[in-house]
Amino acid sequence: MDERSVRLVKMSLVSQKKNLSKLTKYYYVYAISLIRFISPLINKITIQNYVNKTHSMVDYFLEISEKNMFLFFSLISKNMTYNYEQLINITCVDNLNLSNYNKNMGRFSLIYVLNSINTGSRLLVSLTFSANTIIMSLSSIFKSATWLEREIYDLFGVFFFKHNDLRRILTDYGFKGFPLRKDFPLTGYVELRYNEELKSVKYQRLKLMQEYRYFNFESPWKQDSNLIKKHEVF
Amino acid sequence: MKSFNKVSNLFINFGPQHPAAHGVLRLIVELEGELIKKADPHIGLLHRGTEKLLEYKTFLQGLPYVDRLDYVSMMAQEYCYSLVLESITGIEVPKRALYLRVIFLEITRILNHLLALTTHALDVGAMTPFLWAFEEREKLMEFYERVSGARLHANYIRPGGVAWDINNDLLDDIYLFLSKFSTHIMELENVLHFNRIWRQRLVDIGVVSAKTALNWGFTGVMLRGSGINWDLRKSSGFNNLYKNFDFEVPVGKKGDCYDRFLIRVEEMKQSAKIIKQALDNLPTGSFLGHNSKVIAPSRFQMRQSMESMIHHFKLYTEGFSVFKSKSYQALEAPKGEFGLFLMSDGKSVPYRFNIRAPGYFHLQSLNEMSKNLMIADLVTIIGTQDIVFGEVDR
Repeated sequence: MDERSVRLVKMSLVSQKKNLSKLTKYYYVYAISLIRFISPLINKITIQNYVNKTHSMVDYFLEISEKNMFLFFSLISKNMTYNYEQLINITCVDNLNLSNYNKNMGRFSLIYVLNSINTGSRLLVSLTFSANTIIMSLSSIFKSATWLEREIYDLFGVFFFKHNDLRRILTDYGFKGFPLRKDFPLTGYVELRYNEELKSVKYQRLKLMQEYRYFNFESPWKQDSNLIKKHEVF
Repeated sequence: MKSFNKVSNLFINFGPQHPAAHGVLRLIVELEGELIKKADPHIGLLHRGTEKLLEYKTFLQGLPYVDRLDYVSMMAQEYCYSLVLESITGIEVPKRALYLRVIFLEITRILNHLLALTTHALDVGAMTPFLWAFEEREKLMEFYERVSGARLHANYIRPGGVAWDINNDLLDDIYLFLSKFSTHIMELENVLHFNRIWRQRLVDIGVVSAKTALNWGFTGVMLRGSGINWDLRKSSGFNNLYKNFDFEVPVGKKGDCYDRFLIRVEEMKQSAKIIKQALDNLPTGSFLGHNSKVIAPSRFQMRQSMESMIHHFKLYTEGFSVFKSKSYQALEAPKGEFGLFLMSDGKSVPYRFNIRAPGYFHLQSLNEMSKNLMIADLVTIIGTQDIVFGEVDR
């Protein structure tokens, strides 16, 4: 983000501050200082807050590109003030079935969840890239990334550069394919059965009595989109 | 001619059918004499593809699936599932439901810790506490059954509140249970606290420094054992369920297995304290919210009006849809931070559900925690990490 868009973010945050609760105000002030710190490295920030009687939560969504990614994480994990020292989770999303998917958009998104003990806040960082991109592994910064990246490699087929142990983790020994991709069927391609003649368990091609039925439709019921106050700031 | 004796380390296969492996853990252990040089966990033997299955289920159908992840702390996961949907749909939860949730979340915590501590003791060699704790667990699971109809996979905490109201007899019985529970914990402490064998096996074993614990992504007891005061029940902002309750968060000093044992015992006492407060201040009123586009109408309403009947039918066949959004919600499950990431594309099924299981992060540090320890200590470390394979393998 350049200087002008940073100023715009601050202005929009300040204008929203008036009608917010005390707790959420604190989060917005925090967001402003955070943006000042990392603005050269991020593309976009979205602040999503869910405010009703029972919940008051704020999520910061940052979007970064794979060029700045490693620098961003090493900065934010070691900075004294912000100190997002804990990598809580990495998720991958396959964008293939999204209604607005196109080839320029990038096939996969990684979503990193970072946690800061000092400030008690949580950061969601997303990174969208095409299927043949190799992403830098974070296992040298956060040890918790080791198995998380192995899992993403196993289930999505995303490769990580400089990962010292990129084996499959959750699927069976010798498994083929990446099961959480959207083009992988729910039922899979093979099934296991005990073979009486060979006296052992063998893989065989899947035979279904009936084709799997997908109940995937948009509900005709309308949803009230004002329930979440979503501030997309640029 | 000279003869050379080739010496190599011994590789042994531990599990997956070993009682101390807490389910289906397979370890390839490299030994030098009796010292562990490397322990490589092979997981995934209980992989059921929950995340993939959830993508093909409506939001209400998906709820029982998360029950079956960590099958000793069921309601904690139901609560997280409800939380992530509530954050996206914006349903308001009535106050009585929040209190009922607190009661059963803390009952779940006691259930989990009783199992964790005493199976740990069983692995190390003390069999008696295991038998005592299972008697207590039986009573707690009876509470589960009386409130939801199921002993284990309750499906009780639903988006918008809880499934059924609680009756006063059950509240009385929970109170009676709590009044006797402190003596049962005392018995457990008497057997283990100053037990020479127990201390020899646990003190200074599996030491984790605060910095390493953070870097490994530890949460819950594993993080607090290393001296970091971090509990999602206390750190407000994520959810304010525990705002009105007075309790303390025990924190360890050394970060060894014995510290974590002490913390688990203390947490059970604190949970009992929280349940007592919740029972004292349980508000009256509705136990389920009133958002009729998400929450199905009651049986009574169904018999009264045709519209309710239609609502009920629609909600249980095609479900409700939430609009396009992403949300990550987490809570302090008994084992650590249990989190769910939901991405929705406006359909009645989730586009992506990701499960953040605390045990996954603890298990990946096993190699480093057990380095240069005896092979018997490996069992101690698996026990102290409190691993359940339902959530690790998903």
